[in-house]
Amino acid sequence: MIEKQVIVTAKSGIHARPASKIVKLANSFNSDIKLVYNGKALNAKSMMEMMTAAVPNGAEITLKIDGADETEAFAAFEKIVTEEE
Amino acid sequence: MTTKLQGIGASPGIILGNVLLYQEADLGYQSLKINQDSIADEKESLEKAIVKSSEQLEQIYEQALEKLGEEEAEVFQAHLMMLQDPEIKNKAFQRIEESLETAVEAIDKVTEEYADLFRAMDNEYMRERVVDILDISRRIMANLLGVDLNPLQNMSEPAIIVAHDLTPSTTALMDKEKVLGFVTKIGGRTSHTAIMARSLEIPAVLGVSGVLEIAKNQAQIILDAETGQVLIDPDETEWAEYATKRNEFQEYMKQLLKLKERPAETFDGHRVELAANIGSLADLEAALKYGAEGVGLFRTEFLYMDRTESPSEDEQYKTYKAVLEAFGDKPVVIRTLDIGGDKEVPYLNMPKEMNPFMGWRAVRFCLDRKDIFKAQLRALLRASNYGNLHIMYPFIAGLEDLRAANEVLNEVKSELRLEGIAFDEKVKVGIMMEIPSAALIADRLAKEVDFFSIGTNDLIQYTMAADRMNEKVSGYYQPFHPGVLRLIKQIVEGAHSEGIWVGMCGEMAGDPEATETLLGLGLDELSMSASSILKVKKRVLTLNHEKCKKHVNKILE
Repeated sequence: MIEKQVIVTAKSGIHARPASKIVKLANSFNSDIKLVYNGKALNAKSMMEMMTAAVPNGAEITLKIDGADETEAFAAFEKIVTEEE
Repeated sequence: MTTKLQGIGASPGIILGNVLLYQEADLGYQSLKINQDSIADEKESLEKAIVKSSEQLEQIYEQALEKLGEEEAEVFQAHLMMLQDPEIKNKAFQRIEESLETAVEAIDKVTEEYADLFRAMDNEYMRERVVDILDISRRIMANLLGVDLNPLQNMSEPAIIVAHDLTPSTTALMDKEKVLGFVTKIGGRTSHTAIMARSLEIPAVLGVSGVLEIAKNQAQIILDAETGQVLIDPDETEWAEYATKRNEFQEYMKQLLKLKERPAETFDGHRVELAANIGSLADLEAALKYGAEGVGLFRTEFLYMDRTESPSEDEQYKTYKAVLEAFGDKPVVIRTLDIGGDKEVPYLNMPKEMNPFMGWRAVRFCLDRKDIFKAQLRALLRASNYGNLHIMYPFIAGLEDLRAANEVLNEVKSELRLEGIAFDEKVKVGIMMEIPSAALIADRLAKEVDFFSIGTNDLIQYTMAADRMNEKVSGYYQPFHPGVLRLIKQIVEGAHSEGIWVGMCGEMAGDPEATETLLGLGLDELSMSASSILKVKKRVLTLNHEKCKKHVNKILE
């Protein structure tokens, strides 16, 4: 399992970014992917969780990724929460 | 006794029939505690209901795709994604296990919790997603309760549907052969039901308050979309009177259709081109049916609305290509994104403005959001190989806007050349004439474009300083004001002095009462909703162009 803190630098944070993009990305991996924010573990494969996450720019989140393809999944997620739009 | 109600005629026609009341399915349930040993059963039935709901939605999506096109079908894809959301199921399972709730109560509570989260968000787009969550929740609950969510799918007799409002998932699946007409309590000319009715050519009267209280199932009902009247329980005289009107209307439509192949030419031989305004691929069928000689305005903003993110370049390319192919070598004018004003796209997060009609909209927005603008221009250029494309920029205030937009277009062209992607090097570029400052320098603008199209809705409201949405000043919104007509004349003369054509694509173009004046002013093309084309053509055939000019000179003197 990979567990690592990252800072969200995507300009509009996570909630306003098209949640479907994140969910699609998450579902392309077998690993279990969680974003921990404000003490809540959010399932990245869930459209509902990602749409209601409201993680702002500058927030510290913990990515918890567990599964066979966790390394690739972590790299992809680190990129999506930090890249500019 | 007859009850007469007034609404808004949103799709033309006159029809008589019996009422089929469409009501929201009753999804009431009793709140019961289940036994420990039925937990597995409840979970299994929830699982099955979700699978069944997915199958239904897949079916709706397929039908919508086929009948309405990709953009309209998109919403059901989003619903499917929500429906298959792992957290909805996990949370519902948790409620069944821990609170011993029934499957139906668990799913109701879970989706309601999410709906609350969305309602509390500060983003309008997200708040509107409540409708989607409740829509999928209703579907799962209906499947759990064994309730038929859509009685319009299996109608035994033809009927006129009376409803509060109709949702996309209801109309996509309804039995179109048996639906004679729509009457709804809410909605207007631009609501979903109206657009659907027009593309299916079913008469519709919307915004009829009181109709649900009065219309009973099976009652006789008359719907006259020409006047916006609805008659419930009419007497025999009225029934006979409207049956005649209906037949006359059908006969009139039949006669009109005979004009389809005739060129729109005055009897002294002046030819004008009649084209169609379209908003999506769903409008193509009607445009071709009524003999449109091209597309005078494709409003691309509908591709961007009712979804979660901008349409991709590829998706746009496919849509533009389909429109261009449908019209062969006939001109197709595609307007670049005209967003802002009264048209909002929540995911673009445009700020609220005091005066949106005069604000950051259309080309002003596109020049600041080049990512969005470029994707659209790329899609347009790639599609240009398949027909006679005319790109039109909306909301151009002067030379600066035009040149800035052209600069972006040239950048995109260079990029495509570098990538070795072919496009029509001679693609035509024009502007929408809707801001008085542009109209006043039409002669100057004409030197740098291939055509003009006059957007009267905005041109009139800016010239008259009359908000067309404000009923209190609707008297000032005067299409035939000499000031407006002089401005149109100046645009036409500016265009013709440089040898380019000028059309009109606002509401005024489709009004047969305006045809004489517009021909007199010298417009080369009139573009309107498909259903108006033959009515305007009928008018053109009776006119004498020389007399039209004299008529205009008289007004302008």
